[in-house]
Amino acid sequence: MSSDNKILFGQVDASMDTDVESVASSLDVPERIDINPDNVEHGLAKLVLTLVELIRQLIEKQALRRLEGGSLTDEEIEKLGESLALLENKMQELKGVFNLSDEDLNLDLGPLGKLL
Amino acid sequence: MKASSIQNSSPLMLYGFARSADWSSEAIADLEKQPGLFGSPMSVHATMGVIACTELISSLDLPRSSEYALAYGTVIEERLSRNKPFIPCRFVTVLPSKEVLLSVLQQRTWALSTLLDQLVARQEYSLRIYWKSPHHETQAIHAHQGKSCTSPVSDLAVSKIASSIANCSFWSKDDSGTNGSLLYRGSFLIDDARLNECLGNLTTFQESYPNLSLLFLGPFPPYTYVAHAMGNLNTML
Repeated sequence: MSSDNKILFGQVDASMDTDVESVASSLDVPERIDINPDNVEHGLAKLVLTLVELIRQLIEKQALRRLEGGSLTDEEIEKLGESLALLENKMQELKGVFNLSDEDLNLDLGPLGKLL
Repeated sequence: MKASSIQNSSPLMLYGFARSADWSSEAIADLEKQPGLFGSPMSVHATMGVIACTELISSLDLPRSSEYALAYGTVIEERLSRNKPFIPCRFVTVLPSKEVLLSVLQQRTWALSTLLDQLVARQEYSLRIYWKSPHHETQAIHAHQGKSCTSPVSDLAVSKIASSIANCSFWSKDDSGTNGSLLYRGSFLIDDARLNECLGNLTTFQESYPNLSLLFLGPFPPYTYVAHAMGNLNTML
């Protein structure tokens, strides 16, 4: 994809002042290619996973409270631990699929600070 | 673990979709012989008349630099879409496995086929119109309301030129993002048979409006049209 073979009519000249550079570069890397990494799909995945992570952390805290309160049998404690570990593994897997880090899974709530 | 199960569960980078009818078995074999953007063999998966062009990848953490974007554009343009209808996907569109890809293909075959049929003998072009004036005048123009505002005559000329190309097009879109001396940017999906008519119109307009510079670029793979026609392709994946 050379610059020249994309110009079917006209020529890049000085009248294009500040835009000359961007014209030249856009001929090499067509600006139409969608290369925005912060795309809808990525943004939506981030939002959903952030909310799932929030729920996961709430469930974990609730489980710990019940554990400390002594209201669970040994069998229930084992099942709960297993479920939480599975959920955490699944979250790690999904973060990998969407190329998100732990730091990405958060929402800036402005004056209220971060969600997580 | 068998090799086939490794293949099925490995992530794939999806380049885009094409019509099976446009790809001979020799062309597919030729494509699959050469490595893709990230060095792995490219592969083709067919379902009900539509094929997906992919590359197996070993890591989900793929580089997204401008060099790779440029190379991606080259693969799309020179190996996948040349003289053939092709629906390009966003740079680094990754699906978790071949099974997911085939599921997507099966669910979306009709929509993909319809769009591919619209791309037969049509290609995408870009028109840019610039105001030809000394630099300080252009700065003064843009200081006014912070946007392109030359004169009623120039505005009318820009509108006439853009409409003329749009009238020759199957589809057109005014792009945003004018700056400096750039007065207009637009994308057009033009029938191959009407390209010369567009070029003739541009020649006439350039002679009629010497204070404007017209730049007509292309052909490009139909990135803009596909984004318009199918919404954001990634959201459907």
